[in-house]
Amino acid sequence: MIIGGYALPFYGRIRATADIDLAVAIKPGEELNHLLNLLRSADFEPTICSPNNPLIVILDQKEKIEIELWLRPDGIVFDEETLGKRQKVELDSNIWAWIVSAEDFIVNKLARPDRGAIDEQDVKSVLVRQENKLDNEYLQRRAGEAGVLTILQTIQAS
Amino acid sequence: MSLDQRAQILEAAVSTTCGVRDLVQALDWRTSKVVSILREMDKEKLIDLQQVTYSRRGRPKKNVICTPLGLEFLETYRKLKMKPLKARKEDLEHAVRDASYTSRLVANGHSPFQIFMDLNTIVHNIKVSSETSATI
Repeated sequence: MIIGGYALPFYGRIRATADIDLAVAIKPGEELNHLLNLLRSADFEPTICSPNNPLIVILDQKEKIEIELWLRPDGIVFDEETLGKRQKVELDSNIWAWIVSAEDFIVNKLARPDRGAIDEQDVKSVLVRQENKLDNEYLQRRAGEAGVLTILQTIQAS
Repeated sequence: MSLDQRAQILEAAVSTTCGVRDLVQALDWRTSKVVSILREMDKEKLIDLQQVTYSRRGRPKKNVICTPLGLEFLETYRKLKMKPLKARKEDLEHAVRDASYTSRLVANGHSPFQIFMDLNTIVHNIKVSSETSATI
């Protein structure tokens, strides 16, 4: 599913971003190798790649764009609840994709170890635009589990 | 088990001598949850579960003692909690305006994702052309 900047316009503000972030629930080993081989055959070259890393950086050889494949996205747990809350959206005519839920988007942004002002602005924009649509119980719980509840409450109150 | 939960237990353990039952009451969590977290924290050496010898009847009471590592964890956790926002007040106000603008675009029938893609293409083209002119 799509996470990060490409999911943002669906929930919050519109801003440019350089890379594409995708979260993939895939097991290291045979499954991961199979995926990497498929990507190579389609001209996507894995550059930074280790099962120990939370992410794999893939270079789109044609467009020269970096795609980050997150095996362990910050603050996101790959469970039925997370997958049940993701949204299917139309990116272009007849091109559909899964995007992370607004709640998990917020937690993911706040749980980044390198969280910056832009991430906090993104979160604020989602909180404002999705004000009445958020599942607050779920958001608070996930934020608590990821250890970002205090920062979330600070942004909510700001 | 989250960092917050570990910290809550450590906060309770350093403020007073307490056993499992005291923690269940203080934190208002299920006993099974408290026991499971305490086991993990014991393994991580954040706490020490000391059996109280003077317990007379029933299950022997164990006191939760915060270890030096647990204290260090708690101190770091408190510092992190106090860490201010990276964004300034004006940054967050800017984000609110951006969100409101996007809502208006949606209300007027625009696709935010399509606008985002157009914007991204423009930014990408500017980047490519500036790199090309730098090479020339």
